[in-house]
Amino acid sequence: MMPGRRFLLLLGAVAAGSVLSLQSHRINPYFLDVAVTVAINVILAVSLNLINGYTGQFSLGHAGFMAIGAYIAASTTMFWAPGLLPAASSPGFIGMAVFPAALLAGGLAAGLAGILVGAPSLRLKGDYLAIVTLGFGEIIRVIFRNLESVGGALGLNGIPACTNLFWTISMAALTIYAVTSMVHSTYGRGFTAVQDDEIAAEAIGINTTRYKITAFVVGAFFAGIAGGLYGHFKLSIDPRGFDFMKSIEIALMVILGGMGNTVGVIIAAILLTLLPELLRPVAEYRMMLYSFLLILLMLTCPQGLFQPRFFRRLLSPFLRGSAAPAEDPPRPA
Amino acid sequence: MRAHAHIGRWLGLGGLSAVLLFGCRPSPSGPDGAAEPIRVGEFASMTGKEAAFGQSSHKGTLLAIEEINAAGGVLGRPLHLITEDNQSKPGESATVVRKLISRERVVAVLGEVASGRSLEAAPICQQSRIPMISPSSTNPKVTEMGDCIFRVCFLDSFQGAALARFARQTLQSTRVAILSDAAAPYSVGLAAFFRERFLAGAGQVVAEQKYSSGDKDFKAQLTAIRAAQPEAIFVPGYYTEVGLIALQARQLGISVPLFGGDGWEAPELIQIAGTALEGNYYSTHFAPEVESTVAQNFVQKFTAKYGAAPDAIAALGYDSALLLADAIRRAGAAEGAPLRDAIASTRDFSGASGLTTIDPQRNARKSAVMITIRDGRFCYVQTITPEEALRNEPSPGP
Amino acid sequence: MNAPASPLLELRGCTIRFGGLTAVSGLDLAVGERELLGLIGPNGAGKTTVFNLITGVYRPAAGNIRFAGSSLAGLRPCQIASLGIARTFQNIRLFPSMTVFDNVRVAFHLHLLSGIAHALWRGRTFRAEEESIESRVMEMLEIFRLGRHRGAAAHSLPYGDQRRLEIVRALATRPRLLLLDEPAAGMNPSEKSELMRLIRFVQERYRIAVLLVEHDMHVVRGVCQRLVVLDYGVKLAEGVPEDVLRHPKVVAAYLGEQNTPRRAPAAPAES
Repeated sequence: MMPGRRFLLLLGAVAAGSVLSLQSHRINPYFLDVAVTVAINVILAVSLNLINGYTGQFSLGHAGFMAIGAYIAASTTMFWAPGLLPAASSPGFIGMAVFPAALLAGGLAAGLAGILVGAPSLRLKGDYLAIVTLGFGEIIRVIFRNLESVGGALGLNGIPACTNLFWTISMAALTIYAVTSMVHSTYGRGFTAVQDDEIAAEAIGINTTRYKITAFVVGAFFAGIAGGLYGHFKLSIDPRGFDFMKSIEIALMVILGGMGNTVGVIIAAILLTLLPELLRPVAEYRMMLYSFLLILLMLTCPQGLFQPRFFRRLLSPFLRGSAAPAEDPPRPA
Repeated sequence: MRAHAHIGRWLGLGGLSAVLLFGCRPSPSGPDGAAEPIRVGEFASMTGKEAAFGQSSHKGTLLAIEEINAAGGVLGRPLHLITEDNQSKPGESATVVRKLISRERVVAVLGEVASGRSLEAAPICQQSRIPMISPSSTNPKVTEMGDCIFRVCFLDSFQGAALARFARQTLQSTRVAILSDAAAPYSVGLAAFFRERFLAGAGQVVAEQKYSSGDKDFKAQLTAIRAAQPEAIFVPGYYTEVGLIALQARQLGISVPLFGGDGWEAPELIQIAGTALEGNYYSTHFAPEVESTVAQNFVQKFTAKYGAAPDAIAALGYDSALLLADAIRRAGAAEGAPLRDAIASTRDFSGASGLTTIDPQRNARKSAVMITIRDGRFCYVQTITPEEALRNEPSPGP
Repeated sequence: MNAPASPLLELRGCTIRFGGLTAVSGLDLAVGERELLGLIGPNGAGKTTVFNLITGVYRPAAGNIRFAGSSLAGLRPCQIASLGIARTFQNIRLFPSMTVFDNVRVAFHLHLLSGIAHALWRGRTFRAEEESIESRVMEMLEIFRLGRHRGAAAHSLPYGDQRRLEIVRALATRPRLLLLDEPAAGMNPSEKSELMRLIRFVQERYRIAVLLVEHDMHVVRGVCQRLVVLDYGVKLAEGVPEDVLRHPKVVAAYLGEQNTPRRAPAAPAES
């Protein structure tokens, strides 16, 4: 483990994000839209991977956490902050100072909800947990739909446009950094231990309750941040945008990427966001073709998209001679 | 086994890269010709939950564009319509409208039916100062998003007023019950506008009940309404639920008329309700029987092209494109501020859905038509003009 | 040899019922510091149930369990593990998707100074601790001759190595008492004698007490200092192996079984 390498990558991503963000007026708004969507989906998929992939708690409620983050963050920039600091409602101030606080508030609120959802995971497993979390997501959606103060069924409109490439790339990098740092530590191997065998995990002193709730809280926190970014990017949020199809979409990225494989999940999130955009020319057949490709991918890479061994074998014809793939290298500990 | 897995992977990878390559191909340019086409964007729910509306609106728009091009285009240039699907999904409209504006370089955007989708696209069009014309989003908020956002349909505030007048004057009801869809902003809004105008006209709302889109059983609400003994029941919902509500109301022995707004309009309404809705009423934007040359021309061409009579959504989709073409003609330019100003100054534009005037709030001032269901068919009853609907009538009778 | 005067682990009158079946009834059991105690009995005698009572998987309906002077009543398995009781399982329970190295590393979790915040910040304390854990894991893997498998997935190891890895993982929690549930099941005679050496070695090197459930009388006789015999959840006899195995009740309980020394190992039935 090279000390600080991961942290340097995080700093690099933040720096790249700010440079790109300063140059964003040169980028075609449509590409910008797709890039931001990709980054938001990376945050969602990587954070869900902590719950589903590493800890083995099959959750289908991620859109619910995202909704909480989106609504809390949007309410902060639209109502609460201007209410508290009437002098400071200039767009610049909101973008620079209020927005990070709003994202944090959205993340914290979603994390709090993570405790509520994590609690049933202590008693339920597999399909049953999936159903409970799915129900949670729907409850959240219905609550927001009936809250007239946040627009009811029509949703919130006129959210300030605070999300830019800097925030999305930084937050995506932060999510990846946080999740990989956590799981790649002695402490963090406990998440995988809980997934592998709860009884054995308890027997070596792992508090499975605390680990599961931690996974839900951390996963929900980042989903909340993703929600905040989403709302301030689309400028309009609608309870229907956080329905269980959204949760399934995120779960699909995790499954396709390979449960508990962060690189694979990132690749899957990028691919599954770009694919529908690239398929736009085929119009009505788009979703049909998209579904067909999903099936094809699932059949050809059932273990997940990113398998180092598969890629090495794929590249071996080009590397033959000098760098022929060796046996499994000793795992860097 | 291993070889098979290999082939599978290569196949998968090959298929994927083929699609990526195919997907990356630039979109085809407009029809060959001397004049460069005017690029018009449209975003619609072509697939997904609201595809019925989206397809209908798109058919109308497409027909209008073809008609204009057959007549030589506008300013000597053909119109090139670029349609993007938002799958009826929240969040997609923003992306496709950004694509239309920045990649396809359209001069104006047409869409959407659902107010929620229009509200997503509006700030983006406003930001780029590209005029957007919504054919049939009736929520007031849509045009409040900025001075580039227009619509060619009437507002729910007007529809509510028209229905209040209809209930009071034509149905001669003073006691009305309201059964609205709490999950649909359209229904909630329309119910509120109706209530306000109906109460102002000295009517009385004797019961108010709510349901949620997707509900199947309305007996509890209907029983409560029956107990209040209304003279008519206002149901400002969508056709799926309205059909079931009508069936269950008749089963419960409720015989007073039901009436509602343009959400009723779909052939499915009668398929669901059967005879339960005979002699009941709804308001909408357009009726095929309206005797105007534009309307008759539209009905005839639409029927010839698609093999079915158009509904109001199709008429509004048609009108949105016609109104845009008219504005381009008057502006003498297909872009920027002149186009926006030309749309804003539209007066008594004659479309399939009647005369349209864009008011200072960029909304359409136009008439509503009342439809009744007779022998399983939609039949025109009367037209209610804005002047009539908004007049504070004294209550009829003594 | 009698029960120790001030035992490390003490069960008093422990009873547990499953529906109408009394699996363990009024059991008294004591394990002294650094003692090698064998718990034997025919299939279904309640041996694994005793393990599950000690480790908190089951709660006794009556009686109490004390460890190192404090009661274990109401504690969760992970809390009991943190007090210093580690165990292996009759049907090996490794973390199959993790590497051999990580299987052991995760067991160091109990004695971590750094938690989630340190893992995120990755400061000097965290890195120093991770490095020291890494070297201690490698040291243990080398001692138990698993070093060359460190990067392999745990489920890919040969059976004997898996058994050994499970013991190493249990030892990594730094227990004072190690519970071994039929470690010789499925082993051939040479593996068994190696296991016996291993158990004695572990007990001496880590200076811990071992409670061994085992069917193989050869292993039991060769390792244990003292035996407790269980049948139908009741204690039949207790004492040094030679005496206990000649006890008439024990002979009766095992009747027939002792005459067939090569009985099927690792009977899947839970005791």
